[in-house]
Amino acid sequence: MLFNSLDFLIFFPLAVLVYLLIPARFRQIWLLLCSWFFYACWNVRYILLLLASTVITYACARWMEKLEEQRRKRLPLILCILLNLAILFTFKYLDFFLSSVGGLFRTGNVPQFDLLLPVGISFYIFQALGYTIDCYRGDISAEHNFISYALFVSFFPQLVAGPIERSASLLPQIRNLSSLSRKELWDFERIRNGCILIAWGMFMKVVIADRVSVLVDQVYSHYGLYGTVGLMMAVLGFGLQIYCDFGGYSMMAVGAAGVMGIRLMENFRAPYFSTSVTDFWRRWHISLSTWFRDYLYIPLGGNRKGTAKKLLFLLITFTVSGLWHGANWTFVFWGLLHGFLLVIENLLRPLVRRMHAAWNVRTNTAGFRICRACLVTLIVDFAWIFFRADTISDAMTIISRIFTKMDLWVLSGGEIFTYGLDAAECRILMAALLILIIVDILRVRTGLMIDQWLAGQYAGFRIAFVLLIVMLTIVFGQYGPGFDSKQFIYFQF
Amino acid sequence: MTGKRIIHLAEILVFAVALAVLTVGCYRVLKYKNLGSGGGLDNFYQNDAPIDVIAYGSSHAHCTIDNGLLWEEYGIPSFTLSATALTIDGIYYLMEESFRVAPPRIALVETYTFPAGVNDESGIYQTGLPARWSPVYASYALREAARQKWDRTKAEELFFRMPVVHSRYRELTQQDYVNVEPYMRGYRGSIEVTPLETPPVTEERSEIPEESRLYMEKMIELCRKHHVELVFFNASYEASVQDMAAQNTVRDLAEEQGVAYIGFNHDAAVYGIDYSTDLREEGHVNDLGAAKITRALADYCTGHWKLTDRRGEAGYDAWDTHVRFLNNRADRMALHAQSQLVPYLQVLADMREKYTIVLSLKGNYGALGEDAFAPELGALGIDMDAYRRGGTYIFGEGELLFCSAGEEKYQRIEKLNHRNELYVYRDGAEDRDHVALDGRETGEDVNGITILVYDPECALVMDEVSVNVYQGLELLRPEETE
Repeated sequence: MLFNSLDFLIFFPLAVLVYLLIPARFRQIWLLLCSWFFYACWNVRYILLLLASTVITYACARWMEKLEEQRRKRLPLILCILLNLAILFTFKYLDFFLSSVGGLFRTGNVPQFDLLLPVGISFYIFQALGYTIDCYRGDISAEHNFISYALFVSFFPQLVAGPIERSASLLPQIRNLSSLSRKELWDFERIRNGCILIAWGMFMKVVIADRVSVLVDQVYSHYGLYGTVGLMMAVLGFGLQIYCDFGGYSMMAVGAAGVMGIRLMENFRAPYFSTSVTDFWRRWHISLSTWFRDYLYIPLGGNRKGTAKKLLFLLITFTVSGLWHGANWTFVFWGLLHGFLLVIENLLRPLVRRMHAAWNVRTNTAGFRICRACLVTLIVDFAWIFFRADTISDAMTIISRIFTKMDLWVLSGGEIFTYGLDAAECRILMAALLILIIVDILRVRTGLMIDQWLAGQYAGFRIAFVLLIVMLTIVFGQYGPGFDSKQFIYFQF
Repeated sequence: MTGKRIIHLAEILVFAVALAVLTVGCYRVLKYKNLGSGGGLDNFYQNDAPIDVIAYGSSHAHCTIDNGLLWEEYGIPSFTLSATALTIDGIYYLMEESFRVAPPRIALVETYTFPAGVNDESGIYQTGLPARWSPVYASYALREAARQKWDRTKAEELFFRMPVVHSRYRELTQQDYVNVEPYMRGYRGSIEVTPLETPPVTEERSEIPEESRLYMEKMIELCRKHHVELVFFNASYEASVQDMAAQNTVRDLAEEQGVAYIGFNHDAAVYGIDYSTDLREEGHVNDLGAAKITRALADYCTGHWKLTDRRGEAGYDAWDTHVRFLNNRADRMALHAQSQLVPYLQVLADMREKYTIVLSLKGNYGALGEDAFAPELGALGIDMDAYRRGGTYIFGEGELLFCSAGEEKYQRIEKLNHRNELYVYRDGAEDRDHVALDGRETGEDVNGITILVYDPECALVMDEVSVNVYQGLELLRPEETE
């Protein structure tokens, strides 16, 4: 069940209404049933994997709790990690592994199992593993109530595409659901703010992401037809698409959870306003980058073992992060590329600071920040080429053509309006993009998400803005017959 | 209730009301307005006065039933709800919907498409989407979705409709915002003649789909339930033997149920249908054929049921305008038949009382001398003094509404009716007079004369001509577009 579907627009209000009305002691079980139903709508068999991961991590945490010595807790921890990663490996990486090994040894007829990738498997397994590791570290005590824990793993707003929540944040809220008073639950402002986030996320996804994807898909699928201009439009377009697609989904997830009184972490924080690649990863898919930081980078050693090892650990962490995104060498390469960018940035940072000081560069001005943001956006968008392309070879060819197939004349001939989006669609996209930029500027300047910022505004303005967003989505959204219901990009992970 | 709670409730209420109003407003613009032919559902919904006869069917309905004739000669207000190639299930839906809103006394159902079975997928959208959302529509949507075995998403899209129509923002035209033909009742007519052979009459029968039989029974049942008199009829066209055989089966089914069926192909001779003069092409009758069939049906209806002559009653202005629309086709033909200015002005002079006429004397219009066409202008109200001054003249029903009197710089907005307007202007000595109708410039930029003939009641451009005197007095017309 997609968030941008009529089914969800019917399911969610019903689920929330019942949730708000039923006695407190039934709230958890109701949300759990809704979450399982939500997941089962994708494929009923997927539920078994979700349950398996839930049971394994629940049992291992309970087991660890019974063991007093930290050393003895390693066995259940390792068992839990191995079993969950085995599930993940089997369904997500087995065919990739087999075909890669076959390619390495040049053996033909490598068996392929073509197992259907369960939606959201990467997300909920990592969330469950995070809980297990937190229990091992003593950061959180093992959850005894299976219903609470199962709901933690499968809470439907964030089940299929995150944010990957931390047990220390989400579990207490879930435990607390039964003790929320009616007055706390029926908090108009919280529910309103949640609805605003859902509307905003829907706008990002259905108006911007799905619209720009038409151009991106057309150019990427036949990149040999396009020169610099078309390819750059697609490169920048994909950067916009993946932000609005994934960011939009996350916004809806946060909003949906907020309506029900649960606070999820912000997953995107105006990422294309970043002034460095390091900054970018503090703003992009924050839940995943912090997960890898806390459960891979720091355990490896982090920055405690010297600069060289720190940089090595960065490379490892981002390569694994790339692999997490998909079973393809393009994702691995993309992750590795970002690792290298971070390494280079780390190495050059002292030099750059000296240069700025020597040349008296005004680094605290808006102009400087804008230039840096544009540069970082360009770098990140070039990296996205590897993420989007089917093969590394395709990505290299695209990059090569960008620099060798100059065709600026298409800008004045109107040819760019044949690249998937005609002039009218481009105008709509630009208008929507302008709204997005304004909202992200507000995020950067005020530190507030759009719902929080609107909450502090005059009611008439707030109503008008939300109406504008909703009506733009209804009229200009890419949905209905003739539009493919574009699945959220990160669902494939 | 606390103040804060009141404010919250007010915010919810204001938002909900504003959202509903905006959504409905957007939907009204985005939705399909009519079925593409016939009188149109929008016009049907806007009507308040009782409609005694509604004709249903495919193009064979709206090309055959002359609503203007029914009104002018019989005082019978009629309406045609039809669409090109509309199948029997679509016809049934239109009957259901129209009966829900305002059931007629008599339903005339044209049966040409009955043997073809039911709608394909595109026909479902075409038929259902122009109608208002109602329990009848909901039932139709669910029924069709089940019949087509659509998945839930597609069924929901048809049910809620906005997912289907919202993408029409790409193709909106003036007609989506403004009803440009509020008087249209269905019939547009044609004077074209295609001589054809009289189709062979046969008494054979051929099978029609089971679904068609079912829908015929549903139609009969629906009419009985709403106390509507039902007449099936088959309009004249170049039918094949197989077509005739199928219609014979349709007739049998109708008569089995005690419902009238009139076959204007099978019984063409009885009704005086002459295939050499009465058809515009193989598929449809022209004005002559339509008149014969319409009179025959009108005589049948008035002979079997009491119908009130509603001429003169309030609420039937649209029927009067529709008659005017049909009648002024003859004037259009007369104007379009002219290719030279002088006879054109003579013909136009006879019509000056009926229409708005905008005449512009531009540039060196007098290059051919004062005898070229100035005397003919006198009949239109432009005497020699006015001719010598030049400029733009607007006449409405024979009265002079505006003249620029040869001024080099002027502008004037002249309202033609509650919606349409003329804008005439000139920007200086170097410029020539301009005439714009609703923002669209008319007439060529010539040394000569441009004439716009407009029917304000039907909001219709009757003719638009220019004459470049440097090339003689031949009339130039803008290229006709589809």
